[in-house]
Amino acid sequence: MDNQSQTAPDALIIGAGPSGAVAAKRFAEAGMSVVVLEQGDWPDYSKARANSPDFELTMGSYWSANPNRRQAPADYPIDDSDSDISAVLYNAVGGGTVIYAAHWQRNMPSDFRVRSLDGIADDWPLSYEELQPFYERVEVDFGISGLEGDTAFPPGKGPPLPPAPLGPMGKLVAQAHNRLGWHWWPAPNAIATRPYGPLKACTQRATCMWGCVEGAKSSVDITHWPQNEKLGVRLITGARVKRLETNGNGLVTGAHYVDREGKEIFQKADVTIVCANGIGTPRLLQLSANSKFPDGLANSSGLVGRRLMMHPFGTVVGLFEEDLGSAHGFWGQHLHSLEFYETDSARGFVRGAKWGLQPTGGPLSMTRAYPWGAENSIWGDSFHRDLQHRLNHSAMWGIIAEDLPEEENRVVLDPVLTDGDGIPAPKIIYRMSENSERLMQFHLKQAKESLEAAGASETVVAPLIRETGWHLLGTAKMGSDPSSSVVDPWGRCHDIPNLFIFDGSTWPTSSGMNPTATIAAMALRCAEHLVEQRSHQKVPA
Amino acid sequence: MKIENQERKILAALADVLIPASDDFLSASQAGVANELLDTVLVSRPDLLEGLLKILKDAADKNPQEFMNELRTHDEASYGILTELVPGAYFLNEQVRERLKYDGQSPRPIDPHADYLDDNLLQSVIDRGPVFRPTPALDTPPTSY
Repeated sequence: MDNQSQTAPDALIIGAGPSGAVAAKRFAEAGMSVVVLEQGDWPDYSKARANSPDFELTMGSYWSANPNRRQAPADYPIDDSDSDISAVLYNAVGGGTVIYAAHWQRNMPSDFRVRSLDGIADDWPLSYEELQPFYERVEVDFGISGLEGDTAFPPGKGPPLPPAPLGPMGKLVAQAHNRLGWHWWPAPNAIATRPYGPLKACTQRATCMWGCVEGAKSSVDITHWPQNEKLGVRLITGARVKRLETNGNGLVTGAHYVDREGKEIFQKADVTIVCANGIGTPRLLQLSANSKFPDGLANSSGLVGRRLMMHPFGTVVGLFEEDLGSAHGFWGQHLHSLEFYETDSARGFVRGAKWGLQPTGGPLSMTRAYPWGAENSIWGDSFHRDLQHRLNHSAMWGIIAEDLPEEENRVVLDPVLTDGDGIPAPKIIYRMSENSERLMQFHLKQAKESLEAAGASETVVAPLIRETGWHLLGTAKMGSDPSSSVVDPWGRCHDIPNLFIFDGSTWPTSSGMNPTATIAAMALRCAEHLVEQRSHQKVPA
Repeated sequence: MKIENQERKILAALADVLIPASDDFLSASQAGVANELLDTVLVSRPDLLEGLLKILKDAADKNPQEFMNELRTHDEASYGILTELVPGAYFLNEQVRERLKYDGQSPRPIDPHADYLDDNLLQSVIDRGPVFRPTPALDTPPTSY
């Protein structure tokens, strides 16, 4: 039974991940009433096991990033049988920031001008310079650590906290890159290096992705939502949105959601902002098809769900004689390199990748097929020797490869699969392009050279694995032309003036960076514009 | 579900194929992988139990080395269960942890010394100059949007 008696809040936000958190904060600060629907619950840090001997055994259970493996009540299944990469995400207050590695990378200026500079794909309808003030603001709110002056970016204000230490492995690589003449810089992380607001200082347990027991990682369940609730934001957890409702004027009137008891409730709203990630957002727009919008909401361009980008991910490990202490550290990253980020046509592909230098973890991680590869099996007579060779003596580059938007890579509604409430589940169709494959092979080779120059006695190129679709981008493209984009440059749907999308779905191209910094900055920019234009905003009667 | 002594013997033999003894280290069975540590692991990872019982049933009366070779080449899922469970239990053994000088993911507070300033490391990067392409001027060619 729908509840029609409620008062519509000024803003309804769907999804309590980073974009929803940033938007809710700005709206509340501006005096707007805000309701947020989140299908998950608050993360349960009592399940963080970094203090327990079984940490490595249990890291893939509650904290698994794959919803198909985790199968928590808040999760929806994703059919990835036609995809080269499995999507990974977290359905909870905090969203993907609960389990992200907290690599806080701004996009570079060229990421906003791919068409102009490289003659392919699209430009963004904004520039780095337009987004820069918003990067600086969200970095204060998130408590980012890093160092101003990185030569891979235009000058500007840096993050508020000092960077992670390079540590022994970072120093070896930094020295090697200086000899090679290659870029490196102390890495930006969404990890507090000192106490900062609600964040404690990191203690380098290398458990960042599997439940930070210190409360040092800047996930928005810590940095934003408690404060948002104090500002008056009403956060409803366990609320799975199944459909948005529209009226005869083509405006969204609110959202139908199912609570944990299976009760269907209608939440009214003046404006609705979808922040449900690059899979959840197009899924919801498609689920909301009706007679006025038969192809789904905001889909006159036909692009809702299309142009899915997920960033192929590569890893190269180096083994060193020196004790690097690499069972511990920032996971997170100690330094990054953007030496090969920009296009060089001589390489046979366009665009590039970001590298982040990471520790490798404890002893159980030294035995697994990833990143070591089945051909480097540790078992049998050489077990103890190889284990000691790897444990605390290895460092790895994680490589985020840009993939370009292709309309055939897409999110659709699965004709059979449903979630626990009987709502059609998403299916992803994704193939890695030839450009991406060439790009990855080049970067793996260069990363190997980097570690060899740093003194690695041996290097291992990890097998490409499926469960690396951390970055879900592009499925509701931003642009100025309604025929070739879903939302305008401020996140407003061209077709429905009181429906907005603030998450990574809007990205015209994917960059080769971890996306949370830009997702947060874009959400703040869009929220700021909505606040400024509020007096002109069309709302349902 | 109780694991019988005979099943534990089978597991011990399989585990020693993966982790044999060395001059300095215990074998998997010596470390207790098939005994109390197995029970500990299954409390943490109950999802491994069903697959483990099937493996132990299939391995009865078979040569452990040959059985493991067979699993590795023809039953990746079962091989994955053993290569998670056996070392997972092994690294819970205190003697093994001490020998590895591994005390878990224990805290290592950050040294406030800014090591990136050592040896003038950053100056070399700065001297090489910017490595990004700046935003083209606003009169760039039309874009596709």
